Amino acid sequence: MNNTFESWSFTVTNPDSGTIKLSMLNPTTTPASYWVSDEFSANSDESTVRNIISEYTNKFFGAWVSVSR
Amino acid sequence: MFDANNVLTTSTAAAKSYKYKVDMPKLISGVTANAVVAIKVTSKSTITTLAPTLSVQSSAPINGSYAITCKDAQGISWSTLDIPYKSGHTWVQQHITNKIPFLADKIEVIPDYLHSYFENGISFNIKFTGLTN
Repeated sequence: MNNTFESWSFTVTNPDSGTIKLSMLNPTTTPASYWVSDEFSANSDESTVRNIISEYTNKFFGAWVSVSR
Repeated sequence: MFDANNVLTTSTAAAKSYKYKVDMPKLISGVTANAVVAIKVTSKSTITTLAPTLSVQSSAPINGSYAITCKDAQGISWSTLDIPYKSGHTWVQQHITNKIPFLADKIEVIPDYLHSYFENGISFNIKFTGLTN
């Protein structure tokens, strides 16, 4: 049996140096609640985005994600 | 990254859109997020998200139990009791030596850390140290 791992994406069109946040609806809380990331630039590199999202996934799912761009 | 013609590019200068692909390396139950919303603070960019619920979802974490069966030189099968999936290598060895007597004190179970997370799988090497006795 092969493992299938979760994968998702987001796309930034006309990326600039302005900042954004990601808000994740966390299914591990009751009721589900939004976790909001720190601000990061819309044209951030993969490493920055990985660190931002991993703060959430590591806290609630015990793992760092990998991010490619 | 994609250029103005939506063609994949490695040039940051030519890129008109960045697609960030997020991969979770650990099997989980359900999804990491039921929804993902991008909040623009000072950016003027356009951001679209494809949340985990609409993308590739994880297969279920591995759990449960298993048993190990071996045949002796006479062709008789010997089986362990069910071994809980998350048992460490010392417990696996204990199960084998308890229920497969011809292997007692003749094997060593060694973890090989093939998988990063228990949820993804477990793997051991069994080293035979004295089968001929």
